Formats: sequence, structure tokens, C-alpha cells
Amino acid sequence: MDPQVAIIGTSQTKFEADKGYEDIPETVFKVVQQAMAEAGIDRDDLDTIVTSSVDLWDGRTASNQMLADVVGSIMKPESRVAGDGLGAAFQGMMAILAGASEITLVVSQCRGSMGDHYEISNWVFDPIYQQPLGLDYLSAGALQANLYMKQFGISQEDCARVVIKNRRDAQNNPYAQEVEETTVEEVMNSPMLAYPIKEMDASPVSDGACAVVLASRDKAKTLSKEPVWILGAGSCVDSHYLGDRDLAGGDALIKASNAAYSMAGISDPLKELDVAEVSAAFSYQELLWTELMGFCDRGKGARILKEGQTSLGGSLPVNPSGGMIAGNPVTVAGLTRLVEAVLQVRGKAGNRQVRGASRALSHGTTGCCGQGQYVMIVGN
Amino acid sequence: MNRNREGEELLRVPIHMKLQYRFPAGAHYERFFRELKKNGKIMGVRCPECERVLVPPRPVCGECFTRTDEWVEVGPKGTVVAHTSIYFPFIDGSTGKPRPIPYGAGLIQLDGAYSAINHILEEGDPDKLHVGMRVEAVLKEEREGNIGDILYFKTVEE
Repeated sequence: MDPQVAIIGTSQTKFEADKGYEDIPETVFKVVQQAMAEAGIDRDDLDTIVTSSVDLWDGRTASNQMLADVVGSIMKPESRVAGDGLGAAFQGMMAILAGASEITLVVSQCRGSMGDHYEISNWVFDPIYQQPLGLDYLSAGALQANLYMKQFGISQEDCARVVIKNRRDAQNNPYAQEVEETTVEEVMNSPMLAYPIKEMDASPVSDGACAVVLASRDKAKTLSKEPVWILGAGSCVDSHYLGDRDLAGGDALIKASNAAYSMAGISDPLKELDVAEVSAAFSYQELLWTELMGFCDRGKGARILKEGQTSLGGSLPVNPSGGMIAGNPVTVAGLTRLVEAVLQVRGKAGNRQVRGASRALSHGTTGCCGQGQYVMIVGN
Repeated sequence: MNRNREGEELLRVPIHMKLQYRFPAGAHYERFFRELKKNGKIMGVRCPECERVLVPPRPVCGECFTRTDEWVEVGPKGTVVAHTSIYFPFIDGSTGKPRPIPYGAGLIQLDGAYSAINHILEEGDPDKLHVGMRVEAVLKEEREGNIGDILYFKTVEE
């Protein structure tokens, strides 16, 4: 079947440690205006709006409601995903596939700088058994890291190489948070946070926003000279309790990516995809996620990175934008990956462009250690 | 970035939210903590379909989408299935003070259980922690009926 939904406009802010110089509606209005201008539409053209934000990060209840003015949803249907922005893109895609909308605006925003990220991510966990013990994204990630690394013989230096690649590539991304190039030694010597995760293995916490305009096949063809089609999409959720899951296994991502590959007609992702943008909050996660998405065999993520296969110029560059190590506006990460994937397919990714890219994968996660997984493949 | 174009400090609006919640314990939490407080026992529930014993106990086995129906005592010994050593401060809710760092944290599969629970480990040295190490729950003398009744898991030689 021909693809039914296209992306006809995208925009993203520069990701920064602190956007305290402007308020949230201002940031969001800018990305919404840019994405709509790129799509060549105005507010009357919007049938539905899907937003993504999380109340605890925003310090508000129903925090999308403060954004109604700036996302153009006054007297229009808007729904909100309280999770990753790529999940909001899924909802937007489904509204179009269901015939309920011809043009859908998807917007995601987060201000990591406003609150205490340890405290906020501690609230992800059930308040009776887990929260009081101090579990948060970082300590839970460290449990997953140890397990994965021991099981497959991955060293801390292997993880450090992810940081080096992503920080190097972030130099080419004008939207990236200021990060400097680094060395294995520097990463290894950075302060230990939760063994084996060190300060430089962890992505920063950032402020930022993204917007994407989705359109039905007919609308996309009328409105856009360069629509980028959603070729495949899959999502899957695992159990909440870490102790119920195979943390180094990750069946949810295997299922999500296989669903996307099957829809897009892909059997060998390493060969058939041109670029992948992956949501990895910690260095080890980029290796783990690439394995689970079948870019290589289990345990070989570090090897394909070392061989340069996932670097710019390699067979499947992973995170030429720098990924989340170059900016982690927590719940915006997945939609950022989609925006980057679209830029790549359009040949508009500037110095981080993968030459001739025509099929790109974007990946998002929600919850802890990849409990919820989203994969979306786009192409022209 | 901390100043505007006129060189004045950017205005911030500090907000301290104090929200109070009363989570319902429910039948499963209630029995788990009652057994822990009164009898010092750690309990799980068995799924009648897959027969896995789930800890913490809960009303439904998510994989089978079936009501759990049988209570089973698990532990107090168990095996570490994942671990880390934490080097950043955490305010311990039970004492109101930062927990001394580094401290060990792990997922512990209690004997007789399928799923693992997260808790604090006595051993905090990353070089001494390993998957498969045997540990045992150390309980508070004066138990209150919350997860803090398990103080930590001590390393045991077998």
C-alpha cells in the first residue's frame, strides 16, 4: 500500500541548558509558526493538534492547556500525550489514518531546567515499593547498563566511544546544546554518578521544543513539493516493574522495530536504512537499542561502532545530530529524532547530512529504561 | 543567559509545590505490608496460568491478563540479578537525611519468586558486586508496615 501520511513541515529550537530568557509559550509559538510556514498552511488548515508534555516537568496540572493559544487549538480538537513526542506523532498519524483529520500539528516541549530531574524521574516509579528507595532514571539506567555490559562483555571504554562520536557529530548540529569534543580518557575520568554511568555518559538535561506538521496523502501532494512519507511505524510497551523485565533483553523494542520494518518492507536495517536517530539518554543505551533494532547481532553494538559502521560515512550512521548527548529535552527527544530523520531524507541536514539519505529511522522511548518504545521510518 | 539585553537579572518565579497524596494500599499492598510488619515475611502472588510468583504482589499478571490468586512466601534470601553503586546524594525518606555514598542498589530475585524487586544492597563497592551473588533481607526490629521495614540486603556466603 502507498504510504498514507506525510510530514510536510518540521522545526526545532536550539537545545539549551536554560531557556530562562523566554517563557514556554514563546518557545512553543516559534516552533509552531516555523513548522506551519514550512508546510505552507495557516491555522484554518489545522484539523487536529496533538501535543506532548509531562505535568511534573511543567509544574502544572494538564500542562498542555496553557499552550492552547500558541499551538492554535482554540475551538479545535487537541489531545495530549503525557510522554515522549514521538508518541504524539503516532497519535497524529493515527488521526489521519482514521480519516478524522487531514492536517495534524504535533508539538512537544519540555523545560528540564525548571525542576530537579532526580526528583521528577523518581516520581516515575510506584510510590509504595520503589520511590522510597530512591530509584530514578539514572540509578535504574545504571542497573540496566551493568546487566547489559556484563552479559555481552561491553566495556566502559566501549560506551565512552559513543560519547566521543556523538559529541564530535554534535559540532555539526546548530540545534545542539553546547558540547565539546572529548576523548575516552576524559569520559573515563569524569565523575562517577551510578556505576558504570559517569557524568559524561549521561545526556544533559535541556530545554527545547519541536513541531511537525502531518498531512494525508492527498493534502501532502497538493501542499508540499517535498513530502516525506511515514513508511513504517511500530510501538510497544513493557512491564512497569524493572524486576519483571529482561532489562538487557528488551522485547518491546524488538517488537516495535519489527512492526515498523514489516510495514516499510525492510528486512536488513543495516543495509536498507540510510540513517538512524536513536533516543539514548545514556551512552550504553545507544549500543543496546541499535542491537535490539537489529542493526547488528546482540552484543555487537560496540563493535559496529568501533568499525565506524554507525559513524558518518559508515553503512548506517546513528545519531549524526549528536543524539541526546547533544541535548536532552527529556520528553521532546523522540520528536527531535523524527525532525532530524526528515531533514536527512530531504537533504537539508547541513554539515551532518548523510549523503543520499532516502530512508531514515527515528526512535523514541517513554518511561524508565525503555519501558515504552516507538519506531518510525520515513522516506521520500 | 542569566541577564536580559539591558543587563538586568532575568526574572524567575520560584514555586515550591507541596502536594499531598493518599495512595490506597489496596488488598495486595495491605497484605504484603501486614505480613512484613507482623510476621517478618515477604510475600508474593502466584499467577494461576503461568505459575510465576510475582513480587511485589499485585492483582493481575500482566502477561497472562489473569487475576493472581495464591499467596506464597518468598525469600528472605535471594540472588542479585542487576546492581549498581550510587555516587550521587539521595535524601532517604525514612530518615530525612542523605544516604551515605556510595551505596549499592540492585534488583534481587527472592528465592521462590519469578520477578525481582529493587532494594538497597549492603555491599556498595562496584568491584565486589556481581550478578548471581547471594543476599538476604535484613528487617527492622520495630516494623511499621512500609518498604523501609526491609532495611537492606546483606551479602551471605553459601
